[in-house]
Amino acid sequence: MNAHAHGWAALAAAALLTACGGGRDTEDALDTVPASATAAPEAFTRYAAALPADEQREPLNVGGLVPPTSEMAEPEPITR
Amino acid sequence: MRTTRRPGPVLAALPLALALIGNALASSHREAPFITTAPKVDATDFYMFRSYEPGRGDYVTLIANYAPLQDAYGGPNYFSLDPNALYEIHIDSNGDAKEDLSFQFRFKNTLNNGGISLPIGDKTQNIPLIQAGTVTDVNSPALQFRQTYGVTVLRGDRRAGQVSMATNASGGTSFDKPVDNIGVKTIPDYAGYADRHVQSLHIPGCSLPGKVFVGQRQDPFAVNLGTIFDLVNAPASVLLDPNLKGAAPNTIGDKNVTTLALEVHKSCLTQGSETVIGGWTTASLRQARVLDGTPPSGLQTSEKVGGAWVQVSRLGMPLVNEVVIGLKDKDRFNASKPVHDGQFADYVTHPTLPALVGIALAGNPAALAPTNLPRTDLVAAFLTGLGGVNKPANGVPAEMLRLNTAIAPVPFAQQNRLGIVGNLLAGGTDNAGFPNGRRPKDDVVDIALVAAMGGLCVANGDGNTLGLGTACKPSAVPLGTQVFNLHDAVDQAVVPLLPAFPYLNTPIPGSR
Repeated sequence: MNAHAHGWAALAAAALLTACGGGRDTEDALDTVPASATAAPEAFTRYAAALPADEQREPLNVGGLVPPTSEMAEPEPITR
Repeated sequence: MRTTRRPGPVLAALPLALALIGNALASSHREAPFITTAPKVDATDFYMFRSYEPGRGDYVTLIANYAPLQDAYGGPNYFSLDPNALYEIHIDSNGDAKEDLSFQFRFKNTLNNGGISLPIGDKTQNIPLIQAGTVTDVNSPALQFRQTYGVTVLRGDRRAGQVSMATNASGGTSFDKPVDNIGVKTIPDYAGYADRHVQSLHIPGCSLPGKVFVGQRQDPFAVNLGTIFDLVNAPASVLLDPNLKGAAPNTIGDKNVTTLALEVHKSCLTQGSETVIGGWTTASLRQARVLDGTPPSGLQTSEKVGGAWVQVSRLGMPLVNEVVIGLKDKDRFNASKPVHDGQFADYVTHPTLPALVGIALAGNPAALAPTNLPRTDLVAAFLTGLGGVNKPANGVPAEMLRLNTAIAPVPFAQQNRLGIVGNLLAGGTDNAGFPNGRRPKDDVVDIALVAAMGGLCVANGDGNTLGLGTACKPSAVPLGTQVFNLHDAVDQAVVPLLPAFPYLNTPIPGSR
């Protein structure tokens, strides 16, 4: 899967997260960062940029998260 | 063959051509909206000069200061640099506005020996402070917080260039940073302790070793900060009286900063016959960050970062983003590269600072502002370097600090506080000061005030002597020759400094 595909997967996950609304105290896949978001630096950036603000949910579980980094890549464009 | 560009006819024949640089008033402490949220990566000042320490004259000292307005008592964590950031010093060796050489600093924080714990009853507990006794040596066992760093050398593009690691005298790639000046009880001889962290730096591709130091210093910048930003809350009669150039206290005289200092042989910074180099510093953060709601034990474990590096701070010439770039574009400027500086050209050709000074001192934006628009004088000063002084032979207009490495350094006592401007007015021989690079003694605020309010055009005369344009003439300058008397009432030249690398003074202690 290329980086763009990872990005779309991340966006889709974020959209689903938005659709779920609150979900406080629930344990589901959206409580953690999806594997697709950690496949490449640009995918992680797109994932993080797409996370919606949420007044109700508990923080994502990022205990085992190892974000991918790049020493060579230029920043990803961020759509506002 | 390397040719030596000496001060040319413009400099030699036109005394007031001086210099200068049109920026102005405070340096770059908290100058842009975003960077106020990330003080550890906030660049405050950048210096670049031929070393004036005896015996080191063929070296160039590069100093990038970060983390502004540190109160010395700011414990218990004090002001370590960000291990999740990338700090860089860039050199353009051929005038094309692109970096040819970059020094990258990456920091690592560790709990020394897993941290210091004390037996309390039947338990062993980690202490809440970063020290548990007197500190005298590098990597002292009395410190439980240790910050080290590596220096990566990039040749070519800062992200895609050739990568190598600089090494210390032992061949290692890890350097220790001294802990901040907690106070005289913890560190009785901070000057000696810090000096033991000045290390030899072996740069791949450079036959002569340099030096490196990263650590806390007393902020060397002197400015009448509160007064200036309060609509210049001082009478014009004071600001125009040369006898009162030191009448006010240095607002930030009791603050510390964190310094990244390099001393590199000049031959390692130049290319071919070009003796003028451009320099600037940047800091970058990872593009994405997520916060951990349940951080594990350790240091700075609440965040996890990923993605590419994103530049969030940029500093070459002093004061540019502070008082030239409009508020709405300050974050953009901090993220930009010199090669793209055309996007900010209007701020230079049509500057607002002279109008603001008019509003502040005369109640009229047109009262004191030079009328020669576009300000070709400031374009020359800001973006190209001065002909005959520090203008590259084939330069692309861009904002950066430019130093002609062929101009010999001048001992501290003989340095003119007004750099080239002051030297020419005085008829001296000091051509090694701002804007030909920048030394800690150079009073860039006063020099910049003179330039912004039209000093170059007074010098250009009615005959376009400096080639700054026929509209750039004395009659375009409302202040006339009085412009050369302008100052901020704080004297940069009396700030305490060291006589040798890293030149900036021992930081103010947290307690005495």
